[in-house]
Amino acid sequence: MIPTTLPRWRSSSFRLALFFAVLFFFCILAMLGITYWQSSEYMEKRVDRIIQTIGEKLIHTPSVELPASIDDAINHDLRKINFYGLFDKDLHFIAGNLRAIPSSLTIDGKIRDFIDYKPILQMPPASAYPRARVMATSLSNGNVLVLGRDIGELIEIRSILLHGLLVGGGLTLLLGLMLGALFSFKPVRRIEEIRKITSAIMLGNLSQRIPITENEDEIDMLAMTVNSMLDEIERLMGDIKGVTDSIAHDLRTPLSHLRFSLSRAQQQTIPDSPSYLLFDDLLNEVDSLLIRFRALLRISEIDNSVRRSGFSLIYPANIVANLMDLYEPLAEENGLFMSAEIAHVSHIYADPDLLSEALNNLVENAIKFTNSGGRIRVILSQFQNQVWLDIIDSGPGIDPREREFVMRPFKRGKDSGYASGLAVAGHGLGLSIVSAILRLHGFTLDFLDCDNGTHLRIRADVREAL
Amino acid sequence: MQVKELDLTRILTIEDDVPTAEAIAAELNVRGYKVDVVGNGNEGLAMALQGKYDAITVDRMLPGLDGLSIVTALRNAGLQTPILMISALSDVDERIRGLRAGGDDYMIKPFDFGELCARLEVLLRRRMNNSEVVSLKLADLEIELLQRLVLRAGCEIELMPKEFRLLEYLMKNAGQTLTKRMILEAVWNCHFDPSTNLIEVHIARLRKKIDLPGLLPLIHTVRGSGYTLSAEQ
Repeated sequence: MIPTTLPRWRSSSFRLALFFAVLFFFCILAMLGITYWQSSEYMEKRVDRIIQTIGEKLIHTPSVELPASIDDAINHDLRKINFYGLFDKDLHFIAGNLRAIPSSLTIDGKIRDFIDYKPILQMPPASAYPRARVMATSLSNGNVLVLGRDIGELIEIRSILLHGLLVGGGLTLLLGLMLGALFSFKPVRRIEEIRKITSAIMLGNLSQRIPITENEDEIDMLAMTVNSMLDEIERLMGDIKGVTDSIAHDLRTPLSHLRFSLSRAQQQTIPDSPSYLLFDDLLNEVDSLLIRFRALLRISEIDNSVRRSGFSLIYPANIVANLMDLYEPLAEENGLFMSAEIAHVSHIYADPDLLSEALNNLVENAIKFTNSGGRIRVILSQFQNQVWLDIIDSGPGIDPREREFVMRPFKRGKDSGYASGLAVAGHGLGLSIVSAILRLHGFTLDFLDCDNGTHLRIRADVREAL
Repeated sequence: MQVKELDLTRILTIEDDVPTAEAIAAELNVRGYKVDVVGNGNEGLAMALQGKYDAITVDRMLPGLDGLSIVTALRNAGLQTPILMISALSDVDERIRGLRAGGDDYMIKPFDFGELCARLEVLLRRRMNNSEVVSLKLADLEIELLQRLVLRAGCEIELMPKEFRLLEYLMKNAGQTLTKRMILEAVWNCHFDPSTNLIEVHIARLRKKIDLPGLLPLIHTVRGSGYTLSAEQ
């Protein structure tokens, strides 16, 4: 089933714009991530170097001068981001702005991340993020020196970058979606126009052409190609129609002469005499020939039909009711029970004469091939956006392998009719006419699996007039 | 009385195929019509415009002016003569175009000449009885069209809607042979060849209800042609 509407999000332009928006989002994410990673590593290394420099200086300071040096360093730290602690070997406070050694801190001279140091600091820094790089080392006299530096700024930078990522990335995505919708508006509208026109062309209106804009974009190029193709198809269809008309005119006329001559000759004979009856047989043979000839031309005419003057919005229940009126007595006469189940369904776009002809052919077949005492059901229903017309009979059925075969001209199912011992008359053209009519309408004929008999379903789209 | 009417009836046949034209003329002459034949569209239009014909048969494809243009020109000129279009084109659209242009009936070649005459007679009858009819009577069979009432020998007969339409069609054309195809077109609006004994069954059902035992049979089968409703034996 060809979709009739295209959601904007499925258009190529929209998807392309969305793809680039997501791509830009991840580019921004990568760019900001790398910036953050590089800066934080640089800043950490820089802080570690500062701690190491201060540590080396203080370690080499004589023990007696160390408290004074620490106080001096604290006084010179205007930003109050460094912290110092000198403790005796029993870890009692001697000097510095760090009141105690945190229990979790290992005294091994290595620099580590340390969080939540504020409670043990005399004057904690103003940083909103209590995180620091800290080193604890033993001095030669057994005392312990603790040095640290607040790195809350680094966390602040990370927060700024994350915020930038959210705002920038979000805006990029939003802008991408908006541009996608904007860019897809015109193509989607044009594709919808093209869909409507091609639907009309599919239904046989070959004079329709896809409009070309002044943009001369890729859709215009495609439209020009399709239009050229349609010109050629229309020309070929016209040629075929011309040939068909010529055949109709050139061959039907001599056939009608033949029939007329036989009819006139019969009138010269005595009714019910052997000659009269012989002419009767000859006339029947000619009629049989004419019926086949007419049916073949009919298939060709329907297939090549380009005019749709008979098409309109119709209510299929009326056609089914007419069908029942016409065939129920015949079914009854043949000892069959024929019934109809007509649901309230939507209108469909069809030629009522042609559709009736197709349905009549199908019902006639069902009556012809079903044995006396059998049943024929005609069911009109609607499933979603489709009107279904089911014709079910309890006849011999059609072999699944022959379902396509019987739709071709002059082909009759081997098992249908003859297998049941019924010598059913026919030319094998009825189903071909049905097929041609349904093809012209864009309807579908399905052979459904059925335990006993044949189950045919015509599926017609509910649609508005084109 | 009817023979006298037929003697006066003049038919114009516009047909370029000489054997077909001759056959039409011969068949119509046998039935008492006076027939003029012309093989060219322009000449045919000029003759038809004289207004002296009771009915016209026009071929769809003609040299000079085609059949569709002739019908359009005649209707534009205000001529209401019944026109039977004949064509080798059986496309449904062609029939619709022919009837929309102003044709009264449309026949597809090859056709049965008996059916051609039957259709012409129906058109001529319709022309003569163009006043609004509300009741019809044949022997002891009466139908009231407005009340949809059917009486046979004074007794009411119940008919299904389509049976009523079939009887109405037969009665409006009483005495004339109506082919199965004409019946199918007029009653069921179907324009195709029924390959089964469809019409026979409907006629048989109607016959059972109308031609009751002991009453004069009114519905007759015309062998090889169709059916007629007549009070004659």
